[in-house]
Amino acid sequence: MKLNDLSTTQLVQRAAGEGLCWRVGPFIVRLRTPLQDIVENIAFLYTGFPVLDSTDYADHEVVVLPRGITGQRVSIIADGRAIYPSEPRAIAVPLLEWTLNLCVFHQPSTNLILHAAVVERGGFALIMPAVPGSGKSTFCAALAHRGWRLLSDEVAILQRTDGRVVPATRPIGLKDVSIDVIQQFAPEAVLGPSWPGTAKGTVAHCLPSEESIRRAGETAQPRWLMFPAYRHGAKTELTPISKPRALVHAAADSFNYSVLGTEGFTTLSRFVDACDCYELTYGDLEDAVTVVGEWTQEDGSTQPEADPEQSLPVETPPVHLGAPQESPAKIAALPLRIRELLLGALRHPEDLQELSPAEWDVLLCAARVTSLLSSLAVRAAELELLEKIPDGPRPHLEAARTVAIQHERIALWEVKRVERALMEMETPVVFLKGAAYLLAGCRFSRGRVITDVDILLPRQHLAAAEEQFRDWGWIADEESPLDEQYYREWLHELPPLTHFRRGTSLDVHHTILPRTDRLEVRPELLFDEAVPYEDGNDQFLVLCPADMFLHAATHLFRNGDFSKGLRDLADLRGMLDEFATTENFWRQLVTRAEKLDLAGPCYYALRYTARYFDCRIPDDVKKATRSWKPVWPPLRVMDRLVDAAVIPRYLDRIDHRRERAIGILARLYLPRLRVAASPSFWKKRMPQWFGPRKPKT
Amino acid sequence: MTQLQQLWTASRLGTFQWRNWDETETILFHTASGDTHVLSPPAAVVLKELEHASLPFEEIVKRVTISLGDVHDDSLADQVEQLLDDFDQLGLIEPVT
Repeated sequence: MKLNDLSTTQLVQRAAGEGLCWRVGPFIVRLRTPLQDIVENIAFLYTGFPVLDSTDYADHEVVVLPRGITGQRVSIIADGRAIYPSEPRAIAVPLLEWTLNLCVFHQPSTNLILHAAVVERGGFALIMPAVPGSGKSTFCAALAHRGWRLLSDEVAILQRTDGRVVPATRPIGLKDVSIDVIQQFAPEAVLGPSWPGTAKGTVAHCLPSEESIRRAGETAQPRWLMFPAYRHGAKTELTPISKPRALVHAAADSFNYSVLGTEGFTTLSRFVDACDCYELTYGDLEDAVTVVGEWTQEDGSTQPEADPEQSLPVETPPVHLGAPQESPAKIAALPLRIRELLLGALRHPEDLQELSPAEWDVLLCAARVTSLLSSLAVRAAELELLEKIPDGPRPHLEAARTVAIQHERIALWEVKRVERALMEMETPVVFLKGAAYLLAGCRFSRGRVITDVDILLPRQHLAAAEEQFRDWGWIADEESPLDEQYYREWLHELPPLTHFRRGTSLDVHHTILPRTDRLEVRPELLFDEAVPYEDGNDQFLVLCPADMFLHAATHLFRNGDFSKGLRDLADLRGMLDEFATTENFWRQLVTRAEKLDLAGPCYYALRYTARYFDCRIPDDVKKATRSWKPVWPPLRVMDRLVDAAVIPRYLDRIDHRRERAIGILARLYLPRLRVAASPSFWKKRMPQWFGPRKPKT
Repeated sequence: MTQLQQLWTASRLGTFQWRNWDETETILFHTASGDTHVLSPPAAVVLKELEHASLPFEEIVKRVTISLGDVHDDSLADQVEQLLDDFDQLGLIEPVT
C-alpha cells in the first residue's frame, strides 16, 4: 500500500495514534502528530512511498506537537530529543524534512556516508559530493528529469561490505532561485508548496519520480565521482582530477569517514578506485546536463550485471510475535516502561536478547537520550548477543559499537599527542575521566563515548603547559573577555583548548572543583596517590581507584551536569564492581573521601548507585559513611531531583520536569562567601545586570 | 644527543596503509590517528624508511637521495628537516628516547 492510497482521515488517524510509518531508503520512519496540515503536506511530498502497517519497531520517530496558546508554534522531537523546541508552525514541514535528514543521515552508521547527491543510469551511479550552496540539489533535480533515477539529493550511503550505493530516495529540497530554475528547466516537475521564511530562505520540495520510488530497494554500482560547483555565468567545464585529490576531497565531504577509521579508508579508496573523478564548473544548467549526459553516455556503455543479492527489501511486513504487543504509542506514554527498560538493560544486559521489537523501539530511543547506546552495544557484543537481537535495532547497535571503538582510538591518539607535547616538561600529568578509564584498562568504560580529553596539572606549570599546547596546535576557544576572566579567576580549569587541525578538545585542570565551590580539594593529595598507567613512565598518570571514584562522584554531584546523569551513575557502579575486588578499596575510599573533603559527593554516589543498580555496599562502609548523610529535607529534595534528572519520563514530548531538574542540579550549591562578594562572579552569572545598556531609540 | 644524532622512527601506535594511483602522489592512511595524507615522493620515502628502522637525520637524507635517483640537491636536507618537523607535529613519527 502507498501513502496516497490512504484517505486523509486514515492518514490523520494514524499520525495522531500509533504513528504513520513509511520507509526512507533502508530506514523505517514513524511520524506522530495531531496536526492535520502537517500530515497532509507530508502525505503529498511522500506520495507513492510504500506505507507500512503500524509496526512495533521504527528506526526513527519524529513527533510534531503544537506549542503555545494559539497553536501557531510547534515542537519537533526526534528520537526523544527536542530538535526544534519552538518554531513557527508555518515552516514546520521544511523543519520536519531537516529533522529527518538529521535522524536518517547523521546517526552512527557502519556504512560510509558522504554529503552528496546520487543519481543512477544503466545500473551505474553518479555521485556528486559538494558543500552547501554549490548547486548540488539543483543539478541533481535537473538530472532526475533527464532520464536518471534519483537515489538521493543529500547523501551517498556506501555499503561497507561491497561498496555499492544504497538509495535513500526522498523529495529534493530546493531553495530560493533554484525553485524557478527547476520549474523552467523541467515544467513537468512536481513541486510541493513553497515555504518562505526558513533559515535557508524559501524552500520547496521536488517530488521523486514513480520509478525512483518503485526501485528504492535497488543499490547501484559507483561509476562516476563528480564535484559540481555552480558559478554565475561560468562556461561548462568538466575537468579530470587525480584519484588522491578526489579521495581527500570526498573524505572532507563525508559525515563519518574519520569515525569509521580503517574501514572508512578501505571503503573510500575502493570507491575512488571504481570511479572516474571529475570537477564540474557550470553556469548554465541545460548545457551542464548535456555535457554530463554525453560524458557518462560514452563511459557507461557496459551494463553491470544485475545481482539479485544487491536489492534491499522495499517493504517489511510487520513482525508477528507470539505474545500480544503493546502499541508503541502506549509504551511511549508509560514512564515506568522507559525506566524499567533502561535500568533492566544496564543491570542485566544478558536479557537484551529477550526484548521484543516494540521494547527495542523504546529502549533504543531512551538509550540515545541518556548517552548509553554505545555502552549497551559494546556490552551486547561482549556477551555475543548481537546476532540474537532483531533485525531492526541490530544495525543501530552495531553502528553505535563501531563508533564507540573509534572514539576510543581517537581518545588514545589524543593522549599520545598530549604526552608528546608535554614530554619535555618536568611535570606530572594526570589524565582524568574517560581517557583515564581507558588508560587504566577499566572494563566498565568500554563503549563509553569520549568526546574530550581531560588532564590535571600542578597550577605552577599551567602557563608553561599552555605555551607547549599552543606550539603543538591546541588553541584556546574564543571566549569573551568576561568568560576568560571567569575561567581563570574562579574555575578549576583553563578555557577549553581545541586542536586546530583535528578539532578535538582538551580540558586542562589544576584542581577538580571550581574555586567557587565551598568544598576545597588540595590537588597535591591527588598527585601523591596517582599511579602510572605504563610501566617505567612516572610522568603520565591516572588517579588511584579510590580517587577515580571520588572524582567521578564530585564531577557529577558538585559540577552538577545531570544531562548524562544515568551514564555517569553507571560509570560509578562499574567502578565499584571493578575496584571492589581489589584489596583495601573500600577502606581506602572512606579514608580518601574524608581526607579530600569529598565525603558529601561520595555519600550521594554510593546512595544512588545502590538505588539504581542494586550495588552492594559493605556494612562497615555503610556504618562509616552514616555520619556523612545530609539531614532529611535536603536529602529528600535531592532524591527527587536526581530521579527526575537521570531517567526520562517521556520520549515523545519535551520532558520539562527532567529539564527543570537538570537545571536546578546545575545550580544547587551556593558559592562561598568570598566568591559571592566578587563582582567578576556576578558579572558572569548575571550578565543582564552588567551588560552594555541598550541604546535608546 | 644532538639534533643531528636524534633517532626518529615511525609512530608506534597504529600502522600505515599506503595507496598509490600514480607516481606523483601517494595516499597514506594512519590507523591510529585516522588521518589521511597526500604525500609527495620524498615525503613518502622518508616515512617508508622510518616504518622499518629508527634513523638519524643524515641517514634519512642519504636514503632519500638514493631513492630519488642519486640526484644531488642542496635543498634536500632542508626539505627533509622540514618534513621531519611536520611529521612529528602530525604524530606520524616520534623521537626515539
